[in-house]
Amino acid sequence: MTEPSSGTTQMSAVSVRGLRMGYGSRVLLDDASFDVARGEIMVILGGSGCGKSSLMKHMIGLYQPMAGDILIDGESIVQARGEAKAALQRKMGVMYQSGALFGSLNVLENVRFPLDQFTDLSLEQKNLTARMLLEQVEMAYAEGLMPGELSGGMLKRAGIARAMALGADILMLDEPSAGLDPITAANLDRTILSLRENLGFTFVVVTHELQSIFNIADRAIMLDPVSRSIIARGKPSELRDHATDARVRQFFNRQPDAALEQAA
Amino acid sequence: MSATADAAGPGAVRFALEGRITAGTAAPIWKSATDTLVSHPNRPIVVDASKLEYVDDVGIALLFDLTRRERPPEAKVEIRDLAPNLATLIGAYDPKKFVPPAPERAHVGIIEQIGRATERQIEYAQQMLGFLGNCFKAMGLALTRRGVLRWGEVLDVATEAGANAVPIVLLIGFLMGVIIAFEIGLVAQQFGAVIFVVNGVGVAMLRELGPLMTAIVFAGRTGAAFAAQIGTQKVNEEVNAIHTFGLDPVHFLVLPRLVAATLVLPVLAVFADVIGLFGGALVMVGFDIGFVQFYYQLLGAVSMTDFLLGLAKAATFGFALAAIGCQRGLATGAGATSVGLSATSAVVTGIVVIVVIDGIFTVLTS
Repeated sequence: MTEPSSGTTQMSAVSVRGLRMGYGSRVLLDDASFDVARGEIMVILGGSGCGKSSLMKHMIGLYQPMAGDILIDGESIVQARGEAKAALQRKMGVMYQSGALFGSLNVLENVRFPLDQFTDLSLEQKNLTARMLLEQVEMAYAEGLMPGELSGGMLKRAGIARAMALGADILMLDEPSAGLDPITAANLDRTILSLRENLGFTFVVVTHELQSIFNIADRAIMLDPVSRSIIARGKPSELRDHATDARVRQFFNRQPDAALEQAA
Repeated sequence: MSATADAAGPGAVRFALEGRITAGTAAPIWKSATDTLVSHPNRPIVVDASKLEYVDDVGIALLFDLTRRERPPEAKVEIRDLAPNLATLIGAYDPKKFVPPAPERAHVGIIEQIGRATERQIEYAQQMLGFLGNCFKAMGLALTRRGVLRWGEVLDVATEAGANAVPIVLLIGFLMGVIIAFEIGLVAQQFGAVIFVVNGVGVAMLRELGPLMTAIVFAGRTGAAFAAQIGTQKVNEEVNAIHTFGLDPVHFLVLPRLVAATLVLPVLAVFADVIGLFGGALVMVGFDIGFVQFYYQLLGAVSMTDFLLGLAKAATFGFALAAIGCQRGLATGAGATSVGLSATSAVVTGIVVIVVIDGIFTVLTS
């Protein structure tokens, strides 16, 4: 999105307040609060199984939290129901870990899908928009391929293009660069930065790819499965160099557990 | 959010874009802009973007669409007062990349369609024959060598495909017996030949309907499940993992299902036979044929050969349905859609094949 002129007070794009989440009786995260400012790239990080993807799914309203609230543009997605919830969800574009493209549609049709559903544009106009989105993620050459013919990285990039199609100004990306080759991952990082710079998107990125975190993140929060809490928040470089928590330093310096024991 | 066209000096047409252009609001603005360009093919167009407040991806596509169109040099489209970041973004797109329309799918004639379909069927038949050869080899090995067959897995499959299918088989078998007895009974009553309805129900249930209806239920319930299970494993690369362990997927995935299906379908057919005959007997009470009379008439009407022939058919159906389900599963392509197609194909092919096998049995044993 682009606001050529804006003098209004900035409200957080996403605001998480006292969130308690988990499955059944198992609590993954307790009393978590943080804000994502408009135009910010916020990274949620942590080791495998700490609840990063679950947190994202709570933020987009797929799961109901045990307690707490999540506000999207100031409106609670936890309390919203029916069309009100759907309208809030349409403010967010989501790229799932696997890309989650529809298997019966080719790449172009997948990216065009939200436009088919929610706009009155002509087919030619929708195709042009979809092709431009694919061009942004360097996938224009693959528009006629079926999802089954794509590599993991191509699926993710097409998933990002589809997430952007309806002009959602908050993009949630679940592990966008996991499993990608370094060049593709770097290109994806550049695409994310370019989208933020040129279109003012807000990004919430779930990842544990260190290089990508340092490349794109304005701010990061780190989840810990043992304490079930956010154990660090701030700029990634500052967390790496100045974190007081040994687990945070271990994560950012990519150290094995033995190093943690020595440090302790 | 509005677009207005008016004359802007000698020769030029001014077009103003105002407010917000988003996916939800772009359609009428885009149409109006395009109409303006089309209705003034030889005049320069000035697009005033100074009052543009907000655009999303669709708005950017609209702006790009206005600038990329082929027009005479003196009738170019100029966008004025556009935010610099948007101008940079639109300038980054190469109009040449967006010129060719999506190629239409070439029309395929009926002859070509028939030819392609025939080619696919021949290819499928070849694959199926090769697969059946592997299955027979695997079964032979399982019978002659200990440890090849994992009986725990066979039991699991038999429980799911057999024990859990008993209620539906009993229901279908009972209804078949009732329907056959009632339909034949009404006709036979006109000729005073009601007692021979027992013969009809007995032969029909034991030789044909018991095994056939059980097989049809089995095809829909278990054949599809085999295809979907193995198809999902194929999509998840579990089949590749089996290969890389040096294992044969036929031994590992197919054999337990083949053995379980071949053993369990005759048992289900017996259930269908018994409950079908009971249903027939129940209907015959209404035609003044008691249970005892039904029993003695049935003993004279059917032989052990009829019963065993039904069981042999059921075992063959079980083998064929399991083989088709597993083969369709292993032939699954990529993606969730392929799994669905495999399951559908397993059911359709399975039902066709068991009817063909039934016909062959009938011809050979008549």
